[in-house]
Amino acid sequence: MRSSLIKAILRNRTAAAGLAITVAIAFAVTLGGAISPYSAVDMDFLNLLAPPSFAHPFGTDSFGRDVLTRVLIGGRVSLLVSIAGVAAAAIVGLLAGLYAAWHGSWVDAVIMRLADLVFSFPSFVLALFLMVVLGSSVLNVAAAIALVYLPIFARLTRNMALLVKEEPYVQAARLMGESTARILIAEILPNIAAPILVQVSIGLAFAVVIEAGLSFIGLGVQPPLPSLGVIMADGREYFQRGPWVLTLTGLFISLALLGLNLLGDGIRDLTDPRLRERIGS
Amino acid sequence: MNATPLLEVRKLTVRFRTGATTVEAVRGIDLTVAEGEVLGVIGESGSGKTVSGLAILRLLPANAEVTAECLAFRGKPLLTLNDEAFRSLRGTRFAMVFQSPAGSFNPAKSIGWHLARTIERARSRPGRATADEIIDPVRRLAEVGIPQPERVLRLYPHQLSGGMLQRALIAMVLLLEPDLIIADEPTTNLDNIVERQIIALFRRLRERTRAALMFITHDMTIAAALADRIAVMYAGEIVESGPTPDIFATPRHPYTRALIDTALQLERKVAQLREIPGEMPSFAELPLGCAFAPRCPRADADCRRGRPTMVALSPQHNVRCIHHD
Amino acid sequence: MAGSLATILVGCIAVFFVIKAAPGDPALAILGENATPEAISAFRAQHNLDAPVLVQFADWLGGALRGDLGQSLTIAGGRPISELIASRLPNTLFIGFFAVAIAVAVSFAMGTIAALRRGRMGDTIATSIAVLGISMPDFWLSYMLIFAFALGLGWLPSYGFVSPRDSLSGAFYSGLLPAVAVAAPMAAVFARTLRTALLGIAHQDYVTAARSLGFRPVLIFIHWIFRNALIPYLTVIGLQIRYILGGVVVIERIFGVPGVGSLMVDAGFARDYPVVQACTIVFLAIVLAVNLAVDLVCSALDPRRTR
Repeated sequence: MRSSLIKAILRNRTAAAGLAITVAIAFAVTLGGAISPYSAVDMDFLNLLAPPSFAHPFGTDSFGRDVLTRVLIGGRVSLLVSIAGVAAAAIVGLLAGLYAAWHGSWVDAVIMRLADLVFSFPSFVLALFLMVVLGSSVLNVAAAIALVYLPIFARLTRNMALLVKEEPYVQAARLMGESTARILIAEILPNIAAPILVQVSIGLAFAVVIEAGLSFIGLGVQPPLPSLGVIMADGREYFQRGPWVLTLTGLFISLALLGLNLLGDGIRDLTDPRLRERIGS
Repeated sequence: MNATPLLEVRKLTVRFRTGATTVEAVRGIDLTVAEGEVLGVIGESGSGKTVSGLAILRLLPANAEVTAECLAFRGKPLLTLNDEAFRSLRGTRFAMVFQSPAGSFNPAKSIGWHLARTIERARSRPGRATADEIIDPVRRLAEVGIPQPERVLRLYPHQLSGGMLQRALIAMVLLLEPDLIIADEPTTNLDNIVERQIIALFRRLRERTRAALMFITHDMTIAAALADRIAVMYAGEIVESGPTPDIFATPRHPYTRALIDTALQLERKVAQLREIPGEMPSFAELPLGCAFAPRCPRADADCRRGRPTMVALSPQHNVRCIHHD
Repeated sequence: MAGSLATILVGCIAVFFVIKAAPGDPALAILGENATPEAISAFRAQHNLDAPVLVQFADWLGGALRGDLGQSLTIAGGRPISELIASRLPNTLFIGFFAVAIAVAVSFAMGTIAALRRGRMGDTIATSIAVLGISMPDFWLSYMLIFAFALGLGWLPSYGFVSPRDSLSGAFYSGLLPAVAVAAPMAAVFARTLRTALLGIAHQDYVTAARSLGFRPVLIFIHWIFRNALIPYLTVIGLQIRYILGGVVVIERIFGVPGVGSLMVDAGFARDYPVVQACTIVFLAIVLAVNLAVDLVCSALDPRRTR
């Protein structure tokens, strides 16, 4: 199942392009800080607000810091926060969704009503609210992302699991007395993995936007720790004198989102049977 | 049979492309329908009979490739017409009644709306003698046996039964006064009583309209009740064709014989239904020789050697079987 | 309807108690660490903070039902919150509806072109624009728009907003850039939805049946295909309203629009909890109201749901 999915991704142009961009960005933010000859924090007052050049592809900021280096290191912060948030949402959502689907009755009703409630708030407003209440910190940004995405994963898992639960092979496994945990892991999880993967991919894209948005308005990650939103908020201050800081950082985010969105779309196309071409009869 | 037939089809072939694979769903069929005639096209699902009907009306999806040596309507070739010219023939010259009545109507619009659009379409037909006549939708619905037609006009498709929808669709097709109606299993999705009513409706129409009918079905008894001539399809080709009495009196293809036997058993409500053993081969893996050979009681080595050609037993009765005696 | 009201009530409870459970004493947070015990106890008495939480909630809810959302603590010290919101809500709604209108107009064109030219140049271009649109953070796009149309070309203002109550044309003029920034990603999502719906419906049996009767392709497209694609399309607008409002919050701040979103951010910085709480609930109410409206329109459009 897993290797065949990877093969299918590589055959699908959209998914392959998305995967390539995502992997490239992941590599860049992982290694970028180590490879770059510049530091993300050391200031260079001889090179204040230098426009993009060969030495500084993204230019320098108002403290003379290399923007590309800052973007790569800030990108790592943003991506780690987003991954932590989405991973927490996916794991808790998966467990809650499976529990709701398996238990049914009032447990299901309560979990789904809670998910509906969270789902009714504008996602960014909810994240903002949580930042105000919890206080601005890296961990709290991840927590806000997790809470915003929790209902999506819970609802998706529950609906998919309810469908799979009625399948004959799952019924057979139940009749043969297999343990619930085994059935969930061996029979149900593989069958709902693809839509979850789509949501993880698209959710990561939205999480990056939420982190950047919160930090951009100043309620997310706090400087001096760089994140993509922090760098853009900084660039906003001198947007007219050095537009490249905000512009190129935003382009970098857009590229990351493009990769994640394409990857999500591609996997969805691959695994959604409704979208497969049918032969007319 | 010297007059130009209404519809003439020679070597009609339909291929579907999906990715790298191509499947030939209709493999060079010949059909003619004379003015006012009823042709029954019979075969199991998947034999290519529906695809043939859709191909004649140019209604297949874009991945279908339709070729023919001849596809002519009153002697006028159809394949060379551009889409717009062809479109103007649909409805006015030939129309189709589909298998799923519920699927034939726009779910967002009322029955009255559908009739109004159809009446507009009927009026737009060039040279229609009745262009000035007032077409009354209520009368048209009553004619096909719809009770309370005024009320039905205000209803939406989901509020009507399949039988009523099929009647309404037939009323729409009839007010267009086409020369040829292709009916694709119009009773398959209906229950037995309604099926008989719709068949009776088609029989009455035969008396009343000049339209020719190409009736696609899998049921020999329906064909016997309606058709002047019968064409039996199997795995994308016609295996036997001829006048209905000849086909029933002297079926020459083992498949035709089996179909008639099954129909007769159903008629007599035989407890142990003797079905044709085996399944129709998929188009992707057709046997080299006769496509029916794997299921045929009379098949021998010769049958598996090459595809049999059509043999003319009489000017009208043809069979594609080397053991036709 | 009842469901929406219940959701608002549960939403109020959740928001209220989460704020109460927040770490730190609001009195300390607002008055500062060096406040005298007298000042703190006076503050607590003034804002009813010593009563049991349930009583506080009952008081607050009772007030809210009468249109009294309490008083601002810091940003507009002592002013009734309902007044603050009443003055700012029209601006937020204006930007939101303007953005939706732009997104609908653009997506109708793009989605239709993409579906009609499926697999050809027009489709590729429209689909690519759509993916790019989704991938641009709206706050970044705001600055690109300011850079091009305000600083570069000088066509539109880069900052400030004229309330629609003062001048409607002024509101359109000053609201165009913010609305476009909010609309761009939405237009992309809407266009994709429309394309998928149109392509799906184009293969429905009833479309083949309509074609078999020889109706003109334009007629079939409008009445059979587009008409039936409207329902999934509107449903997605209802779902996306959450993201639209999220975008409005940031963009109000960038463009200096005095709306509920910028109020919430200002209140957040100033730890003005009652204001943050009221804004959060106002946004929840807008989402529910829009979804209710979408539901009503969808039932009106779909005879299977009404009659």
